[in-house]
Amino acid sequence: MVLFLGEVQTAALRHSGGVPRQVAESVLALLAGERVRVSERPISYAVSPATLTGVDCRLLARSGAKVRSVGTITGRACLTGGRVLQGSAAVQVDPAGGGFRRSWSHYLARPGVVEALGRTDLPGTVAAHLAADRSSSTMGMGAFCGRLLTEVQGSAALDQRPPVRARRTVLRWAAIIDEKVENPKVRFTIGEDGLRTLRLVLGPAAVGDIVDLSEDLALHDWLLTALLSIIEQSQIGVEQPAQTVLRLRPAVDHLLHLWMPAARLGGFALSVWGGLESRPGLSRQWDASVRRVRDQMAMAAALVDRLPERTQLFR
Amino acid sequence: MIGESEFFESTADDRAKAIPLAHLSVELGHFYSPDLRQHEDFFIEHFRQIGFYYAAARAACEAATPRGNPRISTCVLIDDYFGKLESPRVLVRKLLDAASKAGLEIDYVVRESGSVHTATAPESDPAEPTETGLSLAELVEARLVEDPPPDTTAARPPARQTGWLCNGQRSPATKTHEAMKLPTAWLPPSENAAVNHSIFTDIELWRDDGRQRVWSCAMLAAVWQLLRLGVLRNDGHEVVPPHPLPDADDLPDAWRQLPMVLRANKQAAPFSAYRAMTICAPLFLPVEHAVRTILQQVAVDPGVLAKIVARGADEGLTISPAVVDRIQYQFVDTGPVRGAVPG
Repeated sequence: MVLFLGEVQTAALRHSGGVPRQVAESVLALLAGERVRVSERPISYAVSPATLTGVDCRLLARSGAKVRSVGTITGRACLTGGRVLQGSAAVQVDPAGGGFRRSWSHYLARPGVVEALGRTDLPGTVAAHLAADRSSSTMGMGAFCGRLLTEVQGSAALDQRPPVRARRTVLRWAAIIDEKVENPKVRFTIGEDGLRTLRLVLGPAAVGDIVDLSEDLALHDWLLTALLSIIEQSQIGVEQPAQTVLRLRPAVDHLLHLWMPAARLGGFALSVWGGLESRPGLSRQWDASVRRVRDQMAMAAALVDRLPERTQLFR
Repeated sequence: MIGESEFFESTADDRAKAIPLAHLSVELGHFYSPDLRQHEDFFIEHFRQIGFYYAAARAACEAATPRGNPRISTCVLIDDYFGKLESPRVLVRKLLDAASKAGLEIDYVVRESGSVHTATAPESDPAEPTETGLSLAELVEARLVEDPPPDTTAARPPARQTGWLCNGQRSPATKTHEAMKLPTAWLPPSENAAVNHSIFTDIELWRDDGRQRVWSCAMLAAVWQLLRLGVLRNDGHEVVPPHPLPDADDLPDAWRQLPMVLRANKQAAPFSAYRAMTICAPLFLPVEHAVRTILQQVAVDPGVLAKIVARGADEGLTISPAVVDRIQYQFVDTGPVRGAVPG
């Protein structure tokens, strides 16, 4: 049994429009001498080189047990559609035991692995990781994600005017790899404090694919959250249609074209997405919301011949 | 369906370019300007002393090469960063001749300031290099992942702004305190992976001197060792490929006009190697300790490392993935070396 833990934070890039490829490459260049990887199909996507941070801290289990753990956590930042930025951290927890800390070169030779030096309770660690509140993440992974976001957002290449006002979302994930598992098991929840958790039990899988899946899910969950928030703020049926349409406009300009679940995924990730589509049914809710936006647009268009609305709409 | 994609594969493995590797790289000398001013006899004596230990290194390498025919290359490092030197025209000949009179052959001559000047852009023509704006020292500094003291989580930001790197927890600053306040108790520093007692080390990587960053000898020597181990890449490409040493008449007057790594022997085994052996005077032990402390904290591209480990395995060798474990030393009497002068 192998355990991976991670966290993904998602936010709108602090720039008024989508940034072109060159800007994406420059803001994501977090490690000198390493290339930012980009792809344009089926959706524009760029990912920073992996960065590492060293930890020597207590790893909690649900029971309250703590075990000293030493190693490195991998982090990266990615940008989708030139608009949505994610900071992502991941680590493999290896119950190495031994009780004493080895020289740092040993840990740097296993990047992205944290060795637990004492008795470990991996299921308990998963439970503690997923149950912790939004602000207190395992081994400081949340702060690490936040730091990655801040580093990118602070770039001078960005005009600091995000077109969409939406809260940063936090998705915390745990994946248990068990050779014997045939059908992946997935549980996605949204906590009271807005924390998203994803629990995966998988057959053989590569950590890179798990990270891709978590980031993809976090991205679409953020898109849906942002769209719902815009719809709510547009006060459909309360405000005049022209007002409503003006408030919905950022969604049309900046969000609607980004929905593309599992666009770059394959293998087990597709079946996990398939499961998530049947329940909670993210795409169903997205489609319904998009229809709602378009209906408002259509209605406003129908009213456009009426002078009072037109003056409001096309000021 | 996954569309047409120009996406690079998620692992860096396939991107990192493989470079030729010898079994062993032996450093026959690291010369600073006070020593480089010496007469040829000084170097003949130096290389004669080194010769005994070079023979030992060779024999050990032969014994450790299961399939025989070990590839061994030799090199010297010229410090053209901290002091003024004679022109390459004079100095290179002096060193090569002295080594040859002492029965050794120098395969590569390397100039140290090459790791401070900007690295070559990967796509550029080697004949007309264009610079990327990053030096080897900066590429290595970017890869430092600090050895975390106990109770460090990922929330701790990297403390690279100071130019200092240590192997543990510093003693808290004890400044003079305001009157009427009790002085804070002194606390000792501690080494992270100490064996019973600490040997705490704090290393200056660079100092900003006005507008210029001056890299420390320890940092440059760390870059040097990584170069010899063939693990440095810029965007997946080899950073300073060796260039043939120009004929004596074609050597320039300034070191800066030369490539960093010069191949003096046409038949030489590759410059970089699975393992590196440094033969030097005990005088250099503190610098090498600092180098090892730095190398402990350099996260080399895992793709590059994996390839080297795999290639070693193909040759029947067990190569440690920790670069610091691939470096050996002989601290021996090499004659009256002065090393770098203080100040």
